Amino acid sequence: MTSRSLIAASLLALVSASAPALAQDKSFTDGMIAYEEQNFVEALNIWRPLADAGDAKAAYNIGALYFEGKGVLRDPVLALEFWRKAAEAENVDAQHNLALTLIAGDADGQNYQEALHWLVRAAENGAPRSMYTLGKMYLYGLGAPRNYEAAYKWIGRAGEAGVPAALYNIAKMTRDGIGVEPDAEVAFELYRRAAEGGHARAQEALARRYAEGDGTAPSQERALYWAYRAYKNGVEKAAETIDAMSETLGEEAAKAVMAEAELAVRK
Amino acid sequence: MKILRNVALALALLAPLSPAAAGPAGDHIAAMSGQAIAALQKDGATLAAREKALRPVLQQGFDMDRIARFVAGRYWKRATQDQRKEYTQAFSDYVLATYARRLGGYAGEDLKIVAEKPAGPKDVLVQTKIANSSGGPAIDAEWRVRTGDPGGPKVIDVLVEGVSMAVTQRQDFSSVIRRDGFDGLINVLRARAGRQGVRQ
Repeated sequence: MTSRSLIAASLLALVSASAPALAQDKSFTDGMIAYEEQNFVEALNIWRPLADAGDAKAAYNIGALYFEGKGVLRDPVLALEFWRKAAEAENVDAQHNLALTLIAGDADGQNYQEALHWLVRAAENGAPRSMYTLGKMYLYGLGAPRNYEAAYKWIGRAGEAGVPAALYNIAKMTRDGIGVEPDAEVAFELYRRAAEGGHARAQEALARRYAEGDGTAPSQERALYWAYRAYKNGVEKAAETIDAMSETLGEEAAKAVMAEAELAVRK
Repeated sequence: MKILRNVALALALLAPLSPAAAGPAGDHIAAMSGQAIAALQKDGATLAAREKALRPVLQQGFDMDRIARFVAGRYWKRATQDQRKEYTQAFSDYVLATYARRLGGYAGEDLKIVAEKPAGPKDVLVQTKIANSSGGPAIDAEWRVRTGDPGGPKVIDVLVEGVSMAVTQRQDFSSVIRRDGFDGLINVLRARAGRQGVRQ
């Protein structure tokens, strides 16, 4: 913030006598401390003048308070106003939430074109989750004509940035040849990375690939290991692979593999 | 009315253990609210982390798959296996993300278990009253708990002032499906689940 706008903000704070005087000198972090203590009204009172003076992070957080009804009556439309203000100032969290709310249509109606606009800005600002959603928009043809290459590019970039669901999706696209040449081995490697990242359905898919030798050398042991992790992660149908692999491996060997998987689950 | 229901659900889950709980369904509701309070009061963790710790409480306390199926209504039968899988996951993510974060806005409101009565052959309706800490009128919340399933008792619906959340949600979802199709509903749920809360 420039010194001139700081002065302007202070002057504005002085003349708005109705607001609590103490809150005017407090920082964003003071607001965060109040928030952590569940003093939402105080957090709001601290962030409000900062947001009015152009602090995009404060404006984003006020939007979140209104959206979730913390310290205030829930007001998604007002939340959207604060997010839009912060988004204009290139706050990526606000750009992301604004876009998702325009897709969900649960505040002020659905608008795929505007959602796409904000996702592009957030993705170009380097926000991995926005890259993922942007890729999905191109995949389904929402807000823009369907474009598999663009979908592959953005979902892939989200995967590289460490979003496990993006790795899982790019694995499926590589398996099926959507936006890229189909390649079972590359797909296997992507499933593996998503599984390592904790993605439950990727773990189950990886187990089946090991069981069937799809894109990799078959390994009943690895199949059991990943089926166990998927099952522990909530994928019930992985139980079938666990049973089948336990039978072929024998009880002793199966126990050892599942103990190894259990250790990974607890880590 | 929608606000009232959301608030009541949030309050109800955060109320302290009630000594009046008698049957397994009432015990289940009391245990859930106790776990929710414990998760939110954990020392030394950020509010975001404490809210995240509420997710397993909700996930284990509610029969998320059954609720997902119910709120999809007649569209469930027409959906493919893949769509059902994706939808069930998206629904669960949406409910957990949304309510865990909204629950973070409440603490320690008084919940009393008023009565437990059978509702059909499989369910018990646990009637509760939630005091309003800011002095407004108390809210009536009823918890429809399915007992006798192998996984133990699970909440399958919450009625606030007599209005079923599951039925309300089914109407909401059905209008989304009519507009955007079943895949569109999955997208909408993912978008709702993907929003983030307050950031440092």
